[in-house]
Amino acid sequence: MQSILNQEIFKMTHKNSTWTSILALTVLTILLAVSNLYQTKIQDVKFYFSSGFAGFQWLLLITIVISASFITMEFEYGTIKQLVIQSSNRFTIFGTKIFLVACYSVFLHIFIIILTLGIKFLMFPSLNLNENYMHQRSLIINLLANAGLDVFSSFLIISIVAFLAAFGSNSAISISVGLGVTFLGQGLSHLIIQSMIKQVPIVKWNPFNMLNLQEQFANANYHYISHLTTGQLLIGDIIWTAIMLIAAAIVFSKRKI
Amino acid sequence: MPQNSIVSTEKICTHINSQSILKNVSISLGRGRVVGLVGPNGAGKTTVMKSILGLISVDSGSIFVEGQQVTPQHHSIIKQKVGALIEGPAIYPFLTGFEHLKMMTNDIGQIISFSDQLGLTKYLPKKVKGYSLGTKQKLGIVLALINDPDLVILDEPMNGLDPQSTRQLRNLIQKLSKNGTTFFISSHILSELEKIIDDVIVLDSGKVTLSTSLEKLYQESTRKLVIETSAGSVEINNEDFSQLNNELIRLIKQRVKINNIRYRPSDLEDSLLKYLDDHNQEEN
Repeated sequence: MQSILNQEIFKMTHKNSTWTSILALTVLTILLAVSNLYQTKIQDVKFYFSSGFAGFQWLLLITIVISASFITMEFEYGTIKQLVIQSSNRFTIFGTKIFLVACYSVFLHIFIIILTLGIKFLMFPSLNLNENYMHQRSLIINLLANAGLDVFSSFLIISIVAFLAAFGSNSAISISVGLGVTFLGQGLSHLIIQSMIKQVPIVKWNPFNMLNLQEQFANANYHYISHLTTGQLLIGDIIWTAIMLIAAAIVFSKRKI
Repeated sequence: MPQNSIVSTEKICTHINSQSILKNVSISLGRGRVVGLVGPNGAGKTTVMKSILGLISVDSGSIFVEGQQVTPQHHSIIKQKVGALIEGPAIYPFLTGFEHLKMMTNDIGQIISFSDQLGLTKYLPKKVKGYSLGTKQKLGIVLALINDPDLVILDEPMNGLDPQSTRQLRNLIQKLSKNGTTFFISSHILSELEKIIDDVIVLDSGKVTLSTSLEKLYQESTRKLVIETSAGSVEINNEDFSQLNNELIRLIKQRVKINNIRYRPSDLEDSLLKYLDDHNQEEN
């Protein structure tokens, strides 16, 4: 019998959504690049290059969809029973799934970097990768830094969506809830922080505020919205990821099957 | 735990949503035996099976498989020794039948062998989302058998199977049990179940009301008398000769031609119903 990890890899690589997501990401990223071909402001081209031609933003949607469906599908198809029979405990199953989704996210980030570089060489050959851009760093370093920070943000999103999906038995509902909570959560976080920051300063540490990490790296003025430094956002991101993953693992392990 | 048992439960009790589901259930499955689990809907049959598999916890009592205690937290023995089909086949619509089996084993010969025996082979290259109910059920059964488990737990395996497939399943179970595999099967189709089982356990309202061999059950039940007429057959219960007399008088008065009078051996349904009637009378 193959191990749980091998089975999960098998399932992920045989799901259509795993590959159609990559295709959609490629098309959308190239489309944005094409729309910038006749852009006269070089600063705008540099901005889009360093942000992977919006690839990291599209990746947010894909992360939510893949995370939610990969967790919920076992309850939706009733296959959780077989998984529990085959493994020592449910934490192993959950941990394996999260590990795999995280690896898929890292893979997609690397894919976007390679795609962005490919777009640069094909469509924007005059763009100098070593030219200084934000934070006194070169354009290529900005791209890599954005990608790295987005990986942390994606881990937080995976953990939040995993927590929500651990309650669900329907992939479509889990995906919808994941999308809703992530996008509304950020907006709600802004509102709450703006209205209550003086009375309840701790609200700035809510998990949705940590999703501003990448924006704040790109635009230092963002700290007037987040009320945290970039370093604090990174630490908060890591801590909240751990908290949500532990909570999700507990919910997953206790669910009736 | 009895020495030649592969599974035993000792007074297991469980509640779900403050409703008592199992009440002091003690059963023992003999090694290499085919044991049928029968009972009305809601009796707790699936709950017993899930408890043995470590899928749900029990409030009290113990469960042992191959001498090792099984709980939801500790059930590695299940992984090594048990195959199961519980509450329908556990399958992913986006995989083919072959891919499901390949996830469980690298032994292609075994995949083909079991699939051939259940008439599943031609469906293996197709995605499961296109399968009929019966074909999905067959795949679920093969998944339960594929790693040569010592114990196979099948919950209503004949659901959705046509008569030919039911016979193929019956032949396969009989063949594997001769090689020492223990089967624990629940089914409402008593006429099919009695063709394959050695022992029967009756569960009613969470309690075990009967646990015996099929042979012993038949010995303790009585045969039926059957009057075959030109207008159909009339059955007389429990060798009731006065009822036979009355029926014969009635048929003669109606000028119905009587072709034959014979004994019909008890079947599982008759035997169980008689046992349960006697049991209820004793309780009252």
